[in-house]
Amino acid sequence: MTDKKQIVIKKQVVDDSLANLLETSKGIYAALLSSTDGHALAKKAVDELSDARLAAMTSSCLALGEKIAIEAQQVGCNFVIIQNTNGFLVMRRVGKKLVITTLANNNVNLGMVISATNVAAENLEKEIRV
Amino acid sequence: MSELKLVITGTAGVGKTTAIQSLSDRPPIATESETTDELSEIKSTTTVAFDFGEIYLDDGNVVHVYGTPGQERFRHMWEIVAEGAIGFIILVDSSRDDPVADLKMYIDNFKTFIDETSAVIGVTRINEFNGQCIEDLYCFLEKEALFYPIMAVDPRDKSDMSQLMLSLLAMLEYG
Repeated sequence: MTDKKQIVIKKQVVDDSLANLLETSKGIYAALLSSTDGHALAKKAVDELSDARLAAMTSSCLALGEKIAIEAQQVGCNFVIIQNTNGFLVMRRVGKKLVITTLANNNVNLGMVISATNVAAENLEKEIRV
Repeated sequence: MSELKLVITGTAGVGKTTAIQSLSDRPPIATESETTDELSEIKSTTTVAFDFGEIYLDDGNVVHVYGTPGQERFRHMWEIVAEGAIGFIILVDSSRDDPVADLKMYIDNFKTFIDETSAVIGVTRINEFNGQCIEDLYCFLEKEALFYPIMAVDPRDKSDMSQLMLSLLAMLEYG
């Protein structure tokens, strides 16, 4: 079974995980599940979210974060975080081939976003074995 | 000692990552992810950010070679990687349907940068059936009034890739 077919079958699990992530806090306004080679697979967002470009960019960013960690002789890159004036992006690998990205504004604590992203990722890893 | 920046670009699967592996005097950095789309039929991983290699020249200069991702969805990386480059190596896969269109796309995409610098073209997977490809590429360049060297190369072959790189450096030095 291909990874994408498996994700289609588990669509409800994916949708529920992303919805739960958004429900954690009003500050979390979007979540995106994409493949590590840059394809958007599922999203949940309060407003419109242009997912195709974001999926490709998060794929580049995650790969770079993981390589920089190795170059700095650190191991096990858990999260790549982009902290901005008006919000955060938190990226976390899900299994071998997926990445989840959480977008939040400043009304939520970064630790909370990381924790919620982690819970969603662990749930997806358990349910979709890719 | 100075550091020179070159960029290798071209379609997915043309051999950019392999070319940097062949050229680099230090273990290169690759940002590859497993392919999950139709590309997985021809390769298991693909570059999603950039490849990076270092080449130490006899004159003491160091060449930093960056490889771009091939797919257009990684266009955001193309400009980032191209910034500050003094020359471009465009790899063209002669076994694809329309190598001239491939070359045109990469020349168009990097036009702003190439106009300021220069480029050489390496043609991969040349065999007894597609030798005409180089001629077609020369015709296209001539029509566009562009004068870049074209060479058949095997990205796995260090001497092939070194020759291509040195011809680019010679063009930059002597015009």
